[in-house]
Amino acid sequence: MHSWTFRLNAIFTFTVSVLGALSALNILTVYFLDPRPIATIDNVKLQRLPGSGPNRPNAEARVMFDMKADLRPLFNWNTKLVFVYITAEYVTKLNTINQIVIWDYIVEDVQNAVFTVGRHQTMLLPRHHNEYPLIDQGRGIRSAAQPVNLTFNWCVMPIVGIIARYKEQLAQFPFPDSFEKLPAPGTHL
Amino acid sequence: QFSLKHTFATIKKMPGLHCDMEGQKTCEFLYQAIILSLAALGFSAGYFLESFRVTVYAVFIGVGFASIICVPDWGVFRGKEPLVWVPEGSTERPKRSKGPG
Repeated sequence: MHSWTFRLNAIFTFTVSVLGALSALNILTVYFLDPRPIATIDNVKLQRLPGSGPNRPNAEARVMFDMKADLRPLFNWNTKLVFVYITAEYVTKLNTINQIVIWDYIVEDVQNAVFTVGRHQTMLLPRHHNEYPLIDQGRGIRSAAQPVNLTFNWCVMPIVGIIARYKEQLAQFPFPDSFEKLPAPGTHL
Repeated sequence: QFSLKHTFATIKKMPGLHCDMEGQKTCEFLYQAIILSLAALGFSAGYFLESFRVTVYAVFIGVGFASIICVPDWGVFRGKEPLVWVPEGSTERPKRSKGPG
């Protein structure tokens, strides 16, 4: 402590230790909560992709659905953002596990944590929202024995701590067994 | 001429920059107390306001405050008599007459 540089260095290292201790305490206050969001999906409809045809090697479709989600329980003072995504999961002869992400969304604020997608949607989702087509490897999804499951996954990214990922299966739908049975884009569903 | 020895000699003669002796313990206690109390305050404030940003900002305010008080040599920490340096070029160890050196 005999010179100003020494004191500056001492204060700096002390601050880093204090911030580390505060972060550990932060995790401690949050670790034992087990929040779950509330979400429902229904009214799943399929549609052809523009530009696809019956001779394509992969089965493709666009999946549309109504979803209501309430992510408010996930937000505490250690949450930086929540990443939610919906996967379509099914079993084919070619692959035992298929998981295809068809929709994802990043929620950064607790104000945007309650939202609706689909028929009852009142406003556009604020930012970072994506939809992807369901593209199979081959056409095995058409003759899949079980219907396709829609799973709601959420991923909580904390300010301090481990990223945690959870999922919950919410809906099911069968995939039609031929290309012609998918409605064309633009038809009224 | 510009040698390291010359630089140190000049710095030692400057009144405001070199070390302080008796106040070092006070200084260390002060900055720790300031930062820790603001950290505790910031932690409770952040917990109730549900924002870790508040906690970190409180710690930063504490660091700024502690730096202003403790880093520059205000003379408050020094004792009444100036330090007695060993004369330049001398190689003998002086007898210790005061506290920790």
